[in-house]
Amino acid sequence: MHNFLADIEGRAFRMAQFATSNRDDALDIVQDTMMKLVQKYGDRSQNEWKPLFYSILQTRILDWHRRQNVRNRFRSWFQTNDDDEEAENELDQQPAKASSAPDFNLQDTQFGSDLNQALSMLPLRQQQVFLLRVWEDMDIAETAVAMQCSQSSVKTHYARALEKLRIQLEGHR
Amino acid sequence: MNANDHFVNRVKKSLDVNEQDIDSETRQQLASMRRNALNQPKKITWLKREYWLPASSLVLCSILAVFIIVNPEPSINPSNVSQNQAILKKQDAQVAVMELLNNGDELDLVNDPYFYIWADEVLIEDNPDYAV
Repeated sequence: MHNFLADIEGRAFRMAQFATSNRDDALDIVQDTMMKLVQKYGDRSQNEWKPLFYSILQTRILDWHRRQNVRNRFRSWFQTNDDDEEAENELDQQPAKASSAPDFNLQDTQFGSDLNQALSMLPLRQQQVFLLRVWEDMDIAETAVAMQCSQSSVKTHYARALEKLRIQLEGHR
Repeated sequence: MNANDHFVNRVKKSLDVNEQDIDSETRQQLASMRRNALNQPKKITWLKREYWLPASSLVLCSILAVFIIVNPEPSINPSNVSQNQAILKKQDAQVAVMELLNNGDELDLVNDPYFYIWADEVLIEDNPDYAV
């Protein structure tokens, strides 16, 4: 379990960060996910951990979005004037630009930065499906289990996400 | 390799770099969370309601079954039946007298001495003990 979590935690954190655009909230979500996985499914076979982990993570992210929606409704009633400041903070919270390592050239850095932005702008379900399929190499069936939806939904979300990203990142071909 | 695969590979490579780029402070926090998750005390599962509810229902049903088996319905005793019938008859007679007294239309009868003679005859027919 230790090795599994150590391997997956970085990607899980980034996924949560893409979904929430907030570092601290992303950390909270990953922490909850780890706790629940160990507590409830620690005795399951190792093959089941990955879909279970991502299933919990996606549920936590959805919960976070629901809470944010409720909070935003309350905020809109009180009409605070700190919208510009919040937008600025959200930009600060985006995942860092791709590596500054010497072998990573400027073009790829720009691509990484634009990719982060494009991913953050995707609808939540499309973003989640895309990241699980591409980054985690999960097949359609595994992704459907993790997302708690049908395989045809996974295919649709993936195709749409890919199309949108290709359009948004067309300038990097 | 088609254009889609090329694009997906590029995206994956970029995401991998993004993951490697996580700052050391966040990495430390993630490691600390991992340790906390692995070292959290296990919850005592046998205290959960889903375990207690069926068990307590079973115990309750067993107690009821034992109670029914040990205390079956009392058997019918002929002597009890005759006693009960006698009590019921006595109660009927008393009720009849009470109804008579409560009925305003028939109060004239109460003042009529022939009524008592007639009632005595009727009661003697039923049971000599009830004779006035």
